[in-house]
Amino acid sequence: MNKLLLFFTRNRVLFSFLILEFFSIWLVVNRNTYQQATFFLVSVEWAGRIDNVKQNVLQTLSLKEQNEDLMAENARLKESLRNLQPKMGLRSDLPPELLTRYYYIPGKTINQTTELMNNYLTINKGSSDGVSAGMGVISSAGVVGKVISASSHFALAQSILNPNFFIASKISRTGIQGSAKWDGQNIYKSKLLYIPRNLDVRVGDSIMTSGFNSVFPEGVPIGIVSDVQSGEGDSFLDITFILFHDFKKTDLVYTVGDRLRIEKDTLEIQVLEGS
Amino acid sequence: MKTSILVLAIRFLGVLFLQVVFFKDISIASTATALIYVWFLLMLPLDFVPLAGLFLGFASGLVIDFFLQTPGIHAGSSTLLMALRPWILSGLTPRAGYDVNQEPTFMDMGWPWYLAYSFGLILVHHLFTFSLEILSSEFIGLIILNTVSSTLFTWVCVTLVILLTSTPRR
Repeated sequence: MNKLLLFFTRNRVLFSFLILEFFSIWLVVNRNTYQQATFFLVSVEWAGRIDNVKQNVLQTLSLKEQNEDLMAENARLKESLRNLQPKMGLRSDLPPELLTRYYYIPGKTINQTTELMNNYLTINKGSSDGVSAGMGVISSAGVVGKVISASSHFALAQSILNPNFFIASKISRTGIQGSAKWDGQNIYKSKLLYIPRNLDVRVGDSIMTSGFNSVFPEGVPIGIVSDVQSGEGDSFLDITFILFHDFKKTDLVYTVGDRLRIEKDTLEIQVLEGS
Repeated sequence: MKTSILVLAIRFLGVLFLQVVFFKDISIASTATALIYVWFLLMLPLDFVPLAGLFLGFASGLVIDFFLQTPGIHAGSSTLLMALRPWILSGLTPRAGYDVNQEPTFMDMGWPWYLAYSFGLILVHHLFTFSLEILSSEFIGLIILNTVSSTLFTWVCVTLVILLTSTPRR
């Protein structure tokens, strides 16, 4: 027993190193778990405050006003478009909660990474504005990301520049379903996966969300096909597309809320657990 | 001359501010990023107790992680850096041994010693950081590219910071 204790005290540096290193790697590997969620929840609020101050210092006054005008304008347009859709005779028999199923919360990116492998962005709207984890983030150009954690005034979103983030998508010309996922190479390009080789996909086809998972509504633009190759050996096409959202230019974003999401998810869980 | 806890705390706050406010957004061609905070760990006194160093490395890495929102990555690589530091210090011991007044800078130790010390530790630290971040052998080329370019970038920044903050003590 004494010998064992002596062994541990003699090698205390080594054992401390192993324990600390193990803990660090455990933190890294457990992405998207409860521990990570709490880490982000505390971290996003503090990092968000710093970024907010920084952004305010950097931004000149006129630019700020311009942005706010644009943001208000966009929100107005989205609102009126939503009200116009039923009047145009499209599905006017649907109940109102379906017509106004999605709502948009305008906000601004106050911090983002693009140079990492797993990229994130911070938005200056949080749970007190109605943002919650699981909501989609879009810009006027297209899909931006998905909220993974929201504190009271900020939200942290996984960017589309993140290989862990799959977007249920389709090609608008043909309706072919696929899954969009970033491959870590170029911040302006991404990949469309799981489209069988025999299907017709052309350069110039536009890709949009299919609305299959309740993160994004159907038909939000994602990008435009720039290259189609027959993949090496496997049965899927290797499709590269240019992303519509430019992370280096746009910082005005909308968080998309789905009024029927809880209903949809509850139904799906009930059925899946019942079977 | 002993470096007091107050000096260490001021250094850490300074380097944290630099890292979180300035260097977070600076990257060259989306590959090279300067992890300037390693300066703090490199500049710890030469006779710093290894066990305390490990915990200090872990804690400071965790604080950096907190602000960069990268749970565990910088904590892990800083712990590794602090584990290797006593080892590389003893490997590089000059013939006359270390002087208590000396700091691990090129002014006090000369360029060959400083290059081996700083470059070696920064390289290992960055290799570990980017491997943890990318976490897939599929992207081994990207890991190496990021590591090498960022090591050069960080090294230049660290050397500049030393030039601006340290004075010869010999």
